[in-house]
Amino acid sequence: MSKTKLGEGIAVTDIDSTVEGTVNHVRTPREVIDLTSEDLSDKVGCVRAGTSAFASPLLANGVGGLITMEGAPQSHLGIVSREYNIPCIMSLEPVEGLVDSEPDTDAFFEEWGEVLDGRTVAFETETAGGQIKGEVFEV
Amino acid sequence: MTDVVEYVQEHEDEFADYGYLQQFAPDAEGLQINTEIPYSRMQEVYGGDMVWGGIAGERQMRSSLDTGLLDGNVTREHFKRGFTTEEFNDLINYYAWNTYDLLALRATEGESEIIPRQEYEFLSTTYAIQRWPEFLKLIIDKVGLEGLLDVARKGREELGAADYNSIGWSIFVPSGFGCIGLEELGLVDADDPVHVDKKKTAYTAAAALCYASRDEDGYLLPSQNRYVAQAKSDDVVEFITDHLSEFEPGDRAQLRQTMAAAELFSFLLHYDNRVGQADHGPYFVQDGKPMVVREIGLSRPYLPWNDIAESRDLPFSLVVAMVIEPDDLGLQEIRVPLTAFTHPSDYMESVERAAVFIRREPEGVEPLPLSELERPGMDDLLDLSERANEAVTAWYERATPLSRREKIMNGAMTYYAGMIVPLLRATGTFELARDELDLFELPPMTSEFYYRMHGGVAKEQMPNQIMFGHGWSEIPEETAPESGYADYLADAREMNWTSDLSGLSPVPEPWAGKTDEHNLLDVGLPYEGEMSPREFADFVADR
Repeated sequence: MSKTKLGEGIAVTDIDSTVEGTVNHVRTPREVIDLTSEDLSDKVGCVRAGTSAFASPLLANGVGGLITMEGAPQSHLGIVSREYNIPCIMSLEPVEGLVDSEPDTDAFFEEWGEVLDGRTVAFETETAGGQIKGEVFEV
Repeated sequence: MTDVVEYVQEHEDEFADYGYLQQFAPDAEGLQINTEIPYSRMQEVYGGDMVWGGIAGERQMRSSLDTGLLDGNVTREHFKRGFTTEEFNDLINYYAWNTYDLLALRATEGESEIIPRQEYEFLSTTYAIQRWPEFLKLIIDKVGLEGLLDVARKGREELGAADYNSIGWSIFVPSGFGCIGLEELGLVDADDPVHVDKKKTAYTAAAALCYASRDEDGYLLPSQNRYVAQAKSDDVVEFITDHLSEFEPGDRAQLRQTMAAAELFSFLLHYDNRVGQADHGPYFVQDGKPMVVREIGLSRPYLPWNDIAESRDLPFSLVVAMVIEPDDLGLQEIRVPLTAFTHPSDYMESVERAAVFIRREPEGVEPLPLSELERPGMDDLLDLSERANEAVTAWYERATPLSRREKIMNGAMTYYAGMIVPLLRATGTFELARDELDLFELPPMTSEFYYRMHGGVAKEQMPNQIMFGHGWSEIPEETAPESGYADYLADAREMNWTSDLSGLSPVPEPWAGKTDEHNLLDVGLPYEGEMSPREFADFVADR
């Protein structure tokens, strides 16, 4: 299976099985509520911030995986995703050349989310030092 | 328990050779989990060195303080005579570092798309530093600081209610944040005598709660003693261990699902913060395996949106004790600073035994007997997790259409109330504060702060002023001769501000005649009381 690396971030847990799903970039609470009307088990939610509140219905309704563009595993979302046993990679940064906008701007997060949206992705992790590196590949 | 380093050495022959026990070796350095962002207050303010987190960083931090207070030397005497200025400032510097150690990585979370959390956290702390001290004084006047110590000690005897180490931290640190907000935005001067008096009251009461919650071992916070927070008495720990059971197939997944749903709803009930949850431990069981106890609040009757919990029959709290198999996890270090963190992080897969309890009753003046806790079976947990997940969606649909201001005010209420209400209940003063003393009324200066903090101020201030400690102001040797803050309050009273136990609001009879020249309740040193918390609760009820 060919795969293309899309980005790298910090994984909340060391994922011991392949996580694969279609990315859904959600930006508003209404989009989150709408998404929860579907089966979430083969979907990867993509949210900007590392707080648990925004993504909470995704967690409560069994989303297959989570990507955040900000935040750290010590955040609320990191803790709760770990307890739900939902693979989560936080502060995912794109590989060079994938996103044009200036990093850490609203335009950047919007573009990065749209780049990921709709792609079928897989997660891989690797423990290094005190953190777990998480990588996202398009498959 | 005494010093954990000594305890582990004394039990060396009984304990297995678990790797994580190295964190309790006298000269342990511990893991450096945050390697990117140092604590810069000591350099910025004092010209000292950058300080890091973790066991080695904590040692470095304590070595930079002026007194030996934080070296495990707090005694009851400090709460009789009051802290000196130097001791107050050591407390401020240490709690500021502790905040960095705990929260620095969370500063990069970014803004939630549903909850304006940074704004409400900042707002709630200015609310808190203005109002908590008046309720603390109300209590201290009658029961003294010894009474507060007794309240926190009682908290060691029950499960599923207030963890007074968390509450103590959560009174000290948010009070400091509130001072930063008011001072940085020019609403009050750091040497204002009324403001300084409020700070001293909040910091002293907070330290008393932290101290007694640890069975008066000389420490205040878990970080001082290798991140161990043994908040419960030996009897409670024995009760828990008597109820530990091995997992049947599928039990772990069910427990994990239930805890996740409960934690998530608890966060949402409290507008995405940890006020409803407290971890304590590790307690050493068997041959030195760590046991962590997690208490998750699922219903809080004082919150106006608590019908979401009540209509789904969610209990006051869920208590889960977990024994981790250290070798299975490859456990290198465990820290319990309010929330348990392990390295590696996913300890749930290595929980070998657990005990689960449900508490229906809120905290009261006396500890709830352990026999009144319910013991749910796995079917009960499945049902509970389904109801909690339903509550998550219900809360989300309730909160989504609220205005930004409503969300900020709701969030501010969870912080402000969540940390003081347990103490008010434990002293029988909740109804008095709520019904007669406008507990939930916003101070005028906080109303003004609401407008001043917008335009990105909260987001810009939070990381540097709070997380890295730059904004914490010291207790001055001398305060200013006049109080601009008192003048502000006097003007507010002209506009019918009726709290601070004074002004247009009649001071309740037992405290009449005890106000100072600014019409504020005056509780000076020594902090001596005249009755026990139990007698005080009866006194308030019979009034």
